[in-house]
Amino acid sequence: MGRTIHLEIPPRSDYLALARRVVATAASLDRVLPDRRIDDLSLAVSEACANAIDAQRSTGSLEPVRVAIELGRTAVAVTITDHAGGFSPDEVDPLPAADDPGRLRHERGLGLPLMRSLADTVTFSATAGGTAVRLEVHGPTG
Amino acid sequence: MDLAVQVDDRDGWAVAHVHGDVDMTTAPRLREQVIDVVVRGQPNVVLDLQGVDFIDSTGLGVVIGLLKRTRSQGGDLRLVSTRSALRKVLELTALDHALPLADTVEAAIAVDRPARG
Repeated sequence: MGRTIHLEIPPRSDYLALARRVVATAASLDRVLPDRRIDDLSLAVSEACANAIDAQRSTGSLEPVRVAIELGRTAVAVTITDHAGGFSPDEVDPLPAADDPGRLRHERGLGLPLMRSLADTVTFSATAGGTAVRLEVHGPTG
Repeated sequence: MDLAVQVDDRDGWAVAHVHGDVDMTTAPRLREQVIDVVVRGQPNVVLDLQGVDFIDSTGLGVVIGLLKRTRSQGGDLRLVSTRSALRKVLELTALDHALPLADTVEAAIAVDRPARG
């Protein structure tokens, strides 16, 4: 990967729009991704930041949420790091199918499936103080 | 972009025109404004999302909650948007069956009520 842009936001949901806009603007710098994929990445990052903010709210951490945007020649990767202890994505229930009558019971828990559908790769890793989520989106040549 | 919701009446439906981003910050406001309409006795609601630039999973959760709320009051919730990003997000979350998109407010109102078992 080439250059990396670092952003830190307070763990508050009113900073989500800022994170989305910075990611979308940074991802469009080198025209590596078409607009449609930049939208995918922005939404995936927004979901990851929302999860980070939620997690930190539940642990009471006021540390900033870190967003690192790596601009590569064929892909853009964004890593969102929280300070909320830890989390296992395997413990999140999968969504029922669209024609399952129980589908509408799931008003929450949509964020993780969305991230996984929007990004080409999603990697969770444990850090010293929390969780890092790396979202990678490839350009047409990537 | 911040959220703005403007409600007007058409053919026995309340039409909520939504503009801006529907995310973790703004979605609760959308819920409050539409539930206010339902509580005042109008359970037939069209959400005009043509002006929505962005919706996240919290926003989708609010829309699901409003669908259930309107139906529990004997009404219905209809969505309007021609924007491909919204269509895609509904498909990715497998909500496209429960929340079909109409192209216009007129088309949304014209849809027959689903049979309920």
